[in-house]
Parts: sequence; structure tokens; C-alpha cells
Amino acid sequence: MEESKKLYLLKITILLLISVTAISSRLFSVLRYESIIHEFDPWFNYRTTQYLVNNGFYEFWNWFDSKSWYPLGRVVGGTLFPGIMVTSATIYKILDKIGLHVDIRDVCVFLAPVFSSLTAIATYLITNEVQDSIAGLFAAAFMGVAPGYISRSVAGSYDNEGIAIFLLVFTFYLWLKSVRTGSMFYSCMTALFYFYMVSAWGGYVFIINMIPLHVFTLLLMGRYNNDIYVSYSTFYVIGTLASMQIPFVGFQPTFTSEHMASLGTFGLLQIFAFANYLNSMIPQQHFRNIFRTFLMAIIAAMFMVLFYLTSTKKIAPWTGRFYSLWDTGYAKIHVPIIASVSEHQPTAWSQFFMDLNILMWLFPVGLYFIFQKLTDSQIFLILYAVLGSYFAGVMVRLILTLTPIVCILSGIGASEFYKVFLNFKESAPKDSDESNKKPNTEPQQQKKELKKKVSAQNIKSSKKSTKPNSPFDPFTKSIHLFVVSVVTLMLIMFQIHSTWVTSNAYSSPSVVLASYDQKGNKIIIDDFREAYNWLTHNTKEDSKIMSWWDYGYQLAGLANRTTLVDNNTWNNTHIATMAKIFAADEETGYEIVNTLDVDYLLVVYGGILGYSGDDINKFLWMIRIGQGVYPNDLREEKFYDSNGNYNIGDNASPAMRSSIMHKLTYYRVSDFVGVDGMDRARQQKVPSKVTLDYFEEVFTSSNWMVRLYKPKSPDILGRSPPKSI
Amino acid sequence: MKFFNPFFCVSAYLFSAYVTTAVVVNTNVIKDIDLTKPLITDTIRIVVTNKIEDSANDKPIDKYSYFIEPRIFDKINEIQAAEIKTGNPLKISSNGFNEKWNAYEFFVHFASPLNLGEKISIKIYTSYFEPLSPQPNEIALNEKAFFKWTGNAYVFLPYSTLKQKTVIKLPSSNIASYNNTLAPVSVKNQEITYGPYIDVLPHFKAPVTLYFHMERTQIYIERFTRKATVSHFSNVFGIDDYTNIINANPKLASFSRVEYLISNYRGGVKNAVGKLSLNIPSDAKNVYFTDMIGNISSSEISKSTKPNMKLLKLTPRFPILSGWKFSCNYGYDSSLSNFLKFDKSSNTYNLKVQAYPDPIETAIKEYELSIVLPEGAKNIKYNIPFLTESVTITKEFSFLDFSGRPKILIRKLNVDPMTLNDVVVSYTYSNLQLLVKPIIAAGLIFLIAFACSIISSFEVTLTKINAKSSKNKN
Repeated sequence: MEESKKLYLLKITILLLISVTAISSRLFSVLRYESIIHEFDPWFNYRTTQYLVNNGFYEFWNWFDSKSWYPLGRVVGGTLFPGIMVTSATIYKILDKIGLHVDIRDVCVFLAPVFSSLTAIATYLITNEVQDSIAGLFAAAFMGVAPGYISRSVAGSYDNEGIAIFLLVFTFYLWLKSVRTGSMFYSCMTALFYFYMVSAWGGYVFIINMIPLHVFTLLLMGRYNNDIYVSYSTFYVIGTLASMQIPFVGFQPTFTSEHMASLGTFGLLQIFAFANYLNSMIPQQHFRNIFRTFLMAIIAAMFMVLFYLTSTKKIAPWTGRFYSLWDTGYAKIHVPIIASVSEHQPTAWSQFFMDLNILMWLFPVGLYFIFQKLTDSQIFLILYAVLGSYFAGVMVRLILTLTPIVCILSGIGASEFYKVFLNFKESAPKDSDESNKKPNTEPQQQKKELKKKVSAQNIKSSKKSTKPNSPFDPFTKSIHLFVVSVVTLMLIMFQIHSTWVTSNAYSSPSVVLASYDQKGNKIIIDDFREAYNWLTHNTKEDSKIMSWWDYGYQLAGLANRTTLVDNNTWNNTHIATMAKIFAADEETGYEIVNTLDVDYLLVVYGGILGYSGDDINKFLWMIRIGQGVYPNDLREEKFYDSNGNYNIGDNASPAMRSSIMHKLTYYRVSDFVGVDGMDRARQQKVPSKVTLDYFEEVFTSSNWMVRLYKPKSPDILGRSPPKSI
Repeated sequence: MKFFNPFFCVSAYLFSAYVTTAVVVNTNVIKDIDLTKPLITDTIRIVVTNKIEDSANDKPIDKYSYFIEPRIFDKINEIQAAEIKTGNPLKISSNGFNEKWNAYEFFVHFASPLNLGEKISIKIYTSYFEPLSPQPNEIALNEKAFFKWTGNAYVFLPYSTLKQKTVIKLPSSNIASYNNTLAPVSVKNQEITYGPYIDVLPHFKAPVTLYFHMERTQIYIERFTRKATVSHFSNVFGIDDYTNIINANPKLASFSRVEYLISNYRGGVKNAVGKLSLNIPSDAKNVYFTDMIGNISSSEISKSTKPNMKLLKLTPRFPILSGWKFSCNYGYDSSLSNFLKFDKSSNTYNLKVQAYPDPIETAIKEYELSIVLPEGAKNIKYNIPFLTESVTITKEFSFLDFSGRPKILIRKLNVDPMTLNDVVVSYTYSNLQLLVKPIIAAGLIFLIAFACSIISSFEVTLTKINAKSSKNKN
């Protein structure tokens, strides 16, 4: 076989191995627990996918869900990104057609891992586009196992990000290709995949700002050419029109601030093209003067118009989530509901290390090499690196968008590094022959070796031409050997670290918990499903369940019951009303509960198990959110004890002790743990006496994690239940 | 017949005397109602006499009319009649709904017509599924559950009766109240006897209501489906059961985890179902226990008292307390060769399917058994040893099926699980069928590879872009 064909085959094999690794490292949760949808939002996606599969696309598109946000309801079809549901429904239908009858749940569970293998391949493509195939293989390998991406794409985490990262990387790849070739075909493909991205994730805004920024930067650097004009104009027009087809996006591209940059760039590009045309007509000297003034005026005018339109609210102002990208303290003051979500917090340094590990150091190395030869594509990567790093620092969950660029640049860094240090002229050919024959048991090991071999061969060919004969002395050689082995060791450590992080931090479904008893046997704690299933079987089908919004999607998806608020959080007032009820005393709360037609109240209590994510620990956020809407009824400071501590025991503040949340949580707990019993989630003594007059316990799960109550019904004469003294 | 009016009945009888001629007289009638079993059973023993009443009409009698209330009609499991002396079964035919008496009429056909003055003793057996209604509706966690039963102290018959009595066997001797005005009434342990009543008019009714305690938890299965799948390819016989268990005791007024724990500690909670145990073949593997939201991790397997079996113990997600419901799926795969026998002489396969898991003994409202045979099975014959509502053969499409697998679907309502004996299915099947799927799958993969190689050899661009030259490599 020819050398190039051999290499081609080798690359395909390596990519396949990377894909397999990417998929299999995401299966911990399935092996450890079961094929189950994880966490909160995926339950909504799963429920809508089921609806789509059962009722067809048009029903889905027009779906008004009366089971959520009672009594308001939710227009589901118009308020979601349908990409992920349509994707899995299509896969399901295709599999069904070819005779592979799988459960829709399994399609949903394994969608993210499968797409992550595609992401690895897309990463290879983009790196290969910018640099070369060796860097591409490194980048793909990093992408396959980087915990920053795994955190959002393990089996069961059926969320938009699962497919969106693939789309992000692939759209960027197509964009770079179209800029390089100036091919309208590729820019159309870019627009198409941009449309797919818009349908899949709100993060599409990143693309629609990143690409114009790239174009704008190229213009500023004086790199304007017709290729850029063709690709951007095609992309913008088709992409924007296509994106407007998604009801949730609608006409936003025409009036929201997030999309203005792309519009402005589009206009600017037309002027540039016009100027360029003029340039070929008028003499050089005149043109420069005309052009400069003209350009300045245009830009100034555009900014003025933008400012005017924004201030007069013609253009929708930035949403709270975007403000919090510029000012990390903004959300905490103005939109507590955003700040209350842990994934919206600013990122801690340890998080970077945990999610990216050694890539954090390889990333700048790659950046350095990129700066060495600035092509259009490489400028794009630099911009992406800068923006991605900034956003990742602001919000924990945006590490996700940073991960691809970190992997790409680290791949470039690693490959350049190996190119220099793996240059053992004598040993190179022998090495390649040996590793071909050697049957290797460990795929990871094999991959590393194959990679080394590829680079070695490449170096062999490239170096031969540049430096024909510069024999190494033994000392340099041993230094090379040492450095290479240390770096290889670090890369192996990275793989081990990724596996460890995936297995320990990112593979818990959070619906099901696991614990170990004294003998080391695994115990499955299944309280959530116990309670949800109880609700399904033992309450009326139209029962309205009130809970904090975190459990809304799960209640709808697992228990199939009507909820008042859920993770969609579109109506802050409604959520604040829930907070008001939970923080109110029984009498007031009972009244609101009755006006809202609530049948059951659900609280989550982790004090018996030591589960810290329970409602009492979220209670302060509830009060803060409620305070924004009902400043007269809720005061955060009332819920601290006399020493200013957050106390739940007998010393708790009167407001705390009389609040419904506190009562529902601790009702009869002291009968179970004893008067001196401890609340293991907070390491405090449980309150010794909790009375409950207006509500009665209907169910408590076996580990007390989920407690269900119902408001006592008024008597025949419509009077409230009697109150104990 | 909720609002019973004796005068109405009597006048109705007088009116009817002119229309129909009652030539049959029951010399003696004993009705036994048994409330202790999963299904309520009625056994009526009647001595029938053809007596002269109207000399103009002295034909021999060949059938006996029998009425069943509409309330029970939908819930009947089976209705049988037999001659007591010989034990020979008698034919029963339905005469549809009788609007006058607001009941369904059946005819019991005698083996030979009853001539004037002759006597015959017959037995009519009815079993039906009707959960006892709890009274009161709500109880506390460990309170005793009481139930109500309403019925007729007399035997509702269209003929006059010389002597009759009704014996009701209750689940316990703890009887809270019963109608004692209809003398003679006697109570002995668990049994209440109304009668004997002498010279009872036709169509006579007197409602009685009994309140009594039941120690055993009243549970029933609302819907049970079993799917047995045969795979010759992997020698697997797969069983998948769905069951929906209802605790039909009085509703729990309020639940308290603390009280539940205390009473559990003190030796068990009343009126509750904690575990379901069933025997599965000892070579069963891939045992699962799930419900609509996923795996239930609380099941265990232990030794069974039966040979070649093991005991699968299923603990529901939550204890099925008074008035609660639960549904689940469970299943397993076992070796097909233990259930399938090949008969060389007729070249057929004989498959034995266990129709119901052993030893769950609760009444089933809706029962469904589907047996999925391998794709290409032909000449399907079946032998079902119990009564069915319907048996249909349809097609099912599973993994890589093209022509579909034949599926035998057996439906039955109001089932007594004791009657669900093994179903035997026989069919012919060619072993060449085993090769079809691998060949098709291999062919498809080959086709895809072939298509790929063809597509890749096409030039898709209109003008050749020299990619290498414009790529900024150096």
C-alpha cells in the first residue's frame, strides 16, 4: 500500500478508537445505575420527546401543556428549542423503520454519548482545517475525554448541550472551511448547521456573535477579500432567515441586542465590498481619504442608531442572563432566580482544573503556536479562545463552550511539542514497523502509540527536507526521551483524571442516589421515584402538586401530575408566590394554597440521610426570590436567629419556626430521630416540637427525603380546620 | 333492584301468572354464597319437579330458567350447571336481558325432558369477581377493616318454591351487623343462614346487608398481562409480566411514616402488601423488576420449596397500604428447551406456556396472555384449558422482523387464578428461518458499504477547487 493510504487508514482507525472511548467513558451511570434520564431539565426534554413520538410533529408544534404552570399553562411548542427532541424522534423513527425496535427512552439516554463521539470527529476536522491531522487527532482525543464536556454529555443527560456542542464545533468547522475556500456551498452548509444549532440550544447566540466578530476582525486587519464577502453574506442571510423559523426565536434576530452585531457586520461588509469596488475604479490616494471618512461616519451612525433604538426600547434590551455575563454581581441583586442556580455562579479556579486538567497548560502552548502563523482561521481560534475563556470565567456552565477551543489548541500544542521532541532520526522507522505488528491489549495505550507513530512519520518526512543531517548527541537524545516520556505520562494522567472525574462527579443521575453501608455494599436510595410513583398511583389524575420549581419537570415527567411551577421559570411572580406560601405561617399559607387549588405539597428533606440539596437549604433563595415580588411579606433577615445564623432547631427565629416550609419539613421528625436527634444535612439539632394544623401528611418516602402533604379540607360549613394552641 | 318493594313484586307475580304458566315447582333450594375466596361463588342446589298446575299445558319440561342480576352479569367468571346425581354437566344458554325482571335470563337445558311428576336435582354454579365494598371508607393505619355485602336472602327464581335457604359463608366470624328481621336467621361461626323459608312465591326478593370484618387484605389485580416470547435463535423463552395491584381495603385516612415504622417494628402493618413472591425457573436469567419510571432495585432471589424453581421476591417501591395501588413489570429469560418439545412424527414443536405466575392468588379483573412465536412459524394450533373472552392471532414486529412474528392473544375477564392452567401451543418451524436474519443484516451492511464506495467515487463539485493550494500551511 502507498504511504498516504496507510496513514489515511491509520487516521480512521484512531478516530474510531477515539469515538469508542468517547462513548464508553460516558456510560458509567448506565452501568452503575440504569438507563435513566438524569437530573431536572432532561426530564422535560424526555417528556416532550415522548409527546412528539406519540402525537406527531404538528401536535407537538401546537402543544399547549395545561399540566404545567397551573393555572396558566405553557405553550410548549413556542417556548422550547425543538432540536434535541426532533433529533431523537428522527433516530427513533429510523431505527424503527429498519426493524430495530428500541425504547424511546434508550434513544434519549444514549443520544449525548453518541453525539459526543461526533463532536470528537468534528474537533478533528476543525483542527485539521486549521493546523494538521496530527494536531487534529490529539484534539479529538482530548475532546473525547475532557471532563468539561463529559459533565454535560454522560449517558442519560438528555439536554440541549448534548447535541449543541457538536453543532457548535461543526458549524465553526464549516465556517472556517467556507472562509478559506470562499465556497458558497460551504457557507450554505454553515447556515444549515447554524439553523440546526438555533433549533437546539440558546447558546446559538455565541455563534451569531462569534462569526461576525471574526469577520469584523478580519476587516480591521485589512484581510478583506471576496471569499469572506461570499461566505458571510450567504451565511448571514440564509442562517438568519432559517433561524427565524423556530417559533421561540421568531423575529428576535431583527430587534434584540444579541443579534445586532451580526446585522451590523453584514451592513459593514456590504460597504466594504462597495468600497472595494470603488477602489478598483478610482485612484488609490483619493479613495483612502474618501473611504476613511465614510467608514468612520457609518460606524458612528450605526452605533448612534443602535443606542437610540436600545434606549427607546425599539431594540429589546439585553436579558438578565446576558447582563450577568458582564457583571457577575448583577444577577444576585436583580434576578435572584438566576443567581440561585449553582451552574450560573462564577467559576472557581479549581473547577477549571477539574474540568480541563493538563489542557489548561497545553492551551496557552497551542495559542503560542497559533500566533506564529496568523491565517484567517487561526485568527478565529484566537478570538474564540479569548471569548471562551472570559465567559467560562463568568459562569460555571460556560466551561462547556470553552472546552472545544481548549481541546483544539491543546491538540495543536501537543502535536507541535511532539514534533520537536520526537525527532529521533535513527529509531523512527524501526519504531513504526514494530508497533504495527505488536498486538496491544489496552486501546488507550495503543492509541497513544499510534499517535506517536504518526507524528514520528510526519516529522521524518518534514524534517528530512528541512534539516537533512544533524545527528543528535546522546545527551540531547536522552533529554528528548525524558521530556517526551514525562509529557506522555502527563497525558496518560489526564486520561486517568478524566475517567476519575467522570466516574465520581458527573455520573450521578441525581434522581437516584447511591450510598454504601458499613460492609461496603452499595445501597440505592430511590426516594424520589418512590414518592413520584406513589403520586402516580394514589392520587387523582388531575391533582395539582405544589413544590419548589426544581422538582417541576421531574413531577411532570415521572409522576405525570400537574405542577404549579417548574424549571422553565418563565413566570417569576408565580415562583415568588410559591416562595411566599412556603415562608408564610400556616393560616396565611393555607388561604393562598386554597385559592391556587393545590391538592398536594411536596417538600424535600435531606436531614435523615445528610443530603444537602434539600428544600431547607434552598429556603433562603426562595425567600430572596419571593422578596423581589412581595417585599412587604417577606424579609430575609426575619429568618435568621438572634445571632444572625441560619438556624432550624429550637432557637430558630419565630418566622422560621412558623413557616410552612419548616413545619412540613420537620413535622414528626423528632419522633423518629429522638428529641436530641441531629439534622445530618445541617449538623444542628432538630426542633423538638412541630405542630401542624392545616395540613396533613399523606406520604413520606422511606428515607424521609420526599414528604407529601395535603391541605386539610374545610368542613361542611366551609370553615378552616381548627387550630391547636 | 335497589329500592325493593315487596308489594310491587307480589303484584308483579300476580300479573305474570296470567301470562306465563309456571309448571315447575322447586321442592327444595339451597343457595351457598362463599365470600372467603378471591372470587365470590354462588352454588344453588335445586330439586326441580314438574308439577301439574294447569292441566291444559302438560308438556314435558326441557329447560329451567335462571336469572342473574345485571350488577353481577359483567363480572362473571364462569357459570356452570350440572346434574347432582350423575355429575353430568348441563348445557346453559343465554336468553338475553329480561327487561321485566331487570335481569339476564339463562336456560339450563335438561339432558332429557322432565315429564309430568318427575324430579331432578341440579346444581348451578356461578363465580364472579366483585370486591367487597369497605365500610367505613376510611380507616387509620392499623385499624380493623370492615366490609359490606348486600344481597338477597331469598333465591331469586321464576318458580314457586316449597322450601329454600341461603347460606352465606363470611371471611371471619367477627360480624358487626346483619339483618335479623327475616326470621329464621341463624349465625354459626362464619356462616349466616337465612331460612329455611317455606312456600316462597316466584321472583321473591328480600335484601340483606351484612357488615363483617376480614383479616386477610383484600387485594386484586386490575390488569395482568403476560407476554411469552419464543426465540429459537438464542434458545430463550422470555417472560414479561405487567401487573397492576390494588389494595381494595378501606382507604387510609392519613399516613404517618413514624407510625408505619413503629408498627412495622412491632410485628407488621395490617392491611398491607409488603412483598410479592413468585416461583421462576431455576435457570432464569436477566431477571428484571421495573415500573414505568425505571428500575426498582428492591428485589431478591432465594430458594424455592418447589423443585427446579427459585423464588423471586419483589418489594414494591412503597408498601401497598390500605387503599393504595401499585403497578410494575417484571420478567426473565429462561432456557427454551425446558418448555419446547419437538415431535418428530408430526414434525411440530409443542410449547408449554405457564399462564400465570405461581403462587400469586388474587382475583384478576382483566387478564391477557400473548404468546409470540418466532418469525416464520406456521400451522399454529393451541389448547387453552380455561374459558376465554377472545383468542386472536396477530402479527408483531420486533428486532429485524420483516414478515412479523405470529402472536396468539388470549383475553379473559374476571379470572380466578386457580383456573389458569398451562397453555399448549403447537406449530411447525423450519430451521432455515434461523439463517434469514443474519443474511439480511449482512446484506444490508454490504449494501451500505457498497453505496458508500460508489458515492465517494463521484465528483460532487462543479468546478474543481484546488484546496491544497489555498490552504495556508506554511
